[in-house]
Amino acid sequence: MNWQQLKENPSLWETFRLRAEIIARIREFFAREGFLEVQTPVLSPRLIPESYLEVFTTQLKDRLGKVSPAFLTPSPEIWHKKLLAAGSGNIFEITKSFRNTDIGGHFHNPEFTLLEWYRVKADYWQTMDDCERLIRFINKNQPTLTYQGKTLDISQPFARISVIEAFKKYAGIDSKILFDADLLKKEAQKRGYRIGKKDNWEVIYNLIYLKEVEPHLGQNQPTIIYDFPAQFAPLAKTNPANPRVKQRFELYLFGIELADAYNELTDYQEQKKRFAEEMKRRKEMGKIKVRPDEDFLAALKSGLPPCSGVALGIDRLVMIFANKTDIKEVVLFAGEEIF
Amino acid sequence: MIKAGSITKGMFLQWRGEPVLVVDKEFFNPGKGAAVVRLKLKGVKTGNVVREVLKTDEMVEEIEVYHRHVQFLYKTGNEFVFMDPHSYEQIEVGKNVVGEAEKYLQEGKEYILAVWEGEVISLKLPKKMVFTVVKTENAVRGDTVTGATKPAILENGMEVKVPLFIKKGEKIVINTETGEYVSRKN
Repeated sequence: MNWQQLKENPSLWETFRLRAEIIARIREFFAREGFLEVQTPVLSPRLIPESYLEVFTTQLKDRLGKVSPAFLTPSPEIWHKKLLAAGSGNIFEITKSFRNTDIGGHFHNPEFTLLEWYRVKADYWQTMDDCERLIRFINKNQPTLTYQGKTLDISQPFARISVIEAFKKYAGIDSKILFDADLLKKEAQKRGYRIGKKDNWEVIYNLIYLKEVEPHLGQNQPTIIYDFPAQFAPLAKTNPANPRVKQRFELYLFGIELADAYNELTDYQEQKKRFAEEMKRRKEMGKIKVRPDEDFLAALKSGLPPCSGVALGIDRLVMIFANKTDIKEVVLFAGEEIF
Repeated sequence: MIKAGSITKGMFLQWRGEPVLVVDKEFFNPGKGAAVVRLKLKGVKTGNVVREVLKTDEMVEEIEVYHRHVQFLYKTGNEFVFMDPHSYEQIEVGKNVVGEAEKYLQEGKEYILAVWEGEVISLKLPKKMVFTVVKTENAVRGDTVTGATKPAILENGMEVKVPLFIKKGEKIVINTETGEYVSRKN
């Protein structure tokens, strides 16, 4: 949204008044829950080496001309885990996060406003409950929420479905096929997906997930989809009952992905191993090299309490509450408008 | 052939043997594996909309359409008559192509027709168009809430929400993609 649009059409301010109100409600919710609001750097010397992230890089210079690499953080996660290790207890932050290449399209902006919260001595079932209560609180405890002519009942518990169940229900693919690279490839080819020689299991999984599973999520009921294949959750705990999946969940309303959450991995050795794998993958993919954050690993080593953390996209949340279909309508000076 | 990542909204593709119009495109970075694009494709002949997910490096066949800049003349029955302002050639376009865009057709105004294999397959509207307000209530004095709107009827019969300062007889700019008020026409 640029200033000329607002000047010509003052009714557009409504969205930004609502946005401010939603952010105030979020702060009130977490204050009532006894969470501490924190502010952490968006300019950081290190990042979590997640293989897929396209990052913004810059440089920090001191007065003598010494130059150090610097990044705009794609998530406040490393800072929060250091605070948790330091004994912060429950914390939340409303902050800007940055993802390079996320320009254009209805749901992405290269800098976006993220709500991140961590509940200690809790697992992801409890942060799923947090999501439900937060959405109801923002909606002032009204039982329904309407977006683009569709109405969801948010007063009832949200639907909870595992990734394995969702593939079975919406794509008709059972876990035997889902987790077998050759069988899944054959199934995808049968369905008309164009699978190349270089396409690995992750690629095929994604194509089917995005085309046949995700569009159904949160359409008739707010939906939490959980337990993602291990490859898709480098910072989440493994499900002890099924080691092929990790304890991660996503919240969907009206087919829109609103939040992403983990049962946080607290095992230092395991995290170190996964970081090494992610860095190798980044190298293979030709992505910018990020050094592992030794300080982060040190924090984990010193002891991270059992906890679950959630990242929720505030811009998308505002889109839903303001009944808007494009992120540019809920963000002042969106990337696409200023670059 | 082009990479799926370079597809843009409004492009025409040959998809599973049928000409389709790209009505929407969204990049998606799924976390692992290749980046993908989600497309909404509208069959030019059938009007059916399908959703597809493609890898950004997947190759797709683009259709080379020929764009004709034309003026709208008039409607007769279910046909819409346009004219090429250079050759004065008249082109008839069916209701199946014009569809919902009918309300945006103004006599003498310029539009773009996409032609493929000698057939008009799509009508492209200017993104912003000007219409006169034919009916709206005058704002009540003292109603100074910024952001308040009121309904207005336009010359083409459309009803839109406008800011309180808009008066009957004023020209306003409408976004043809959303059907919403954008600004006053100075």
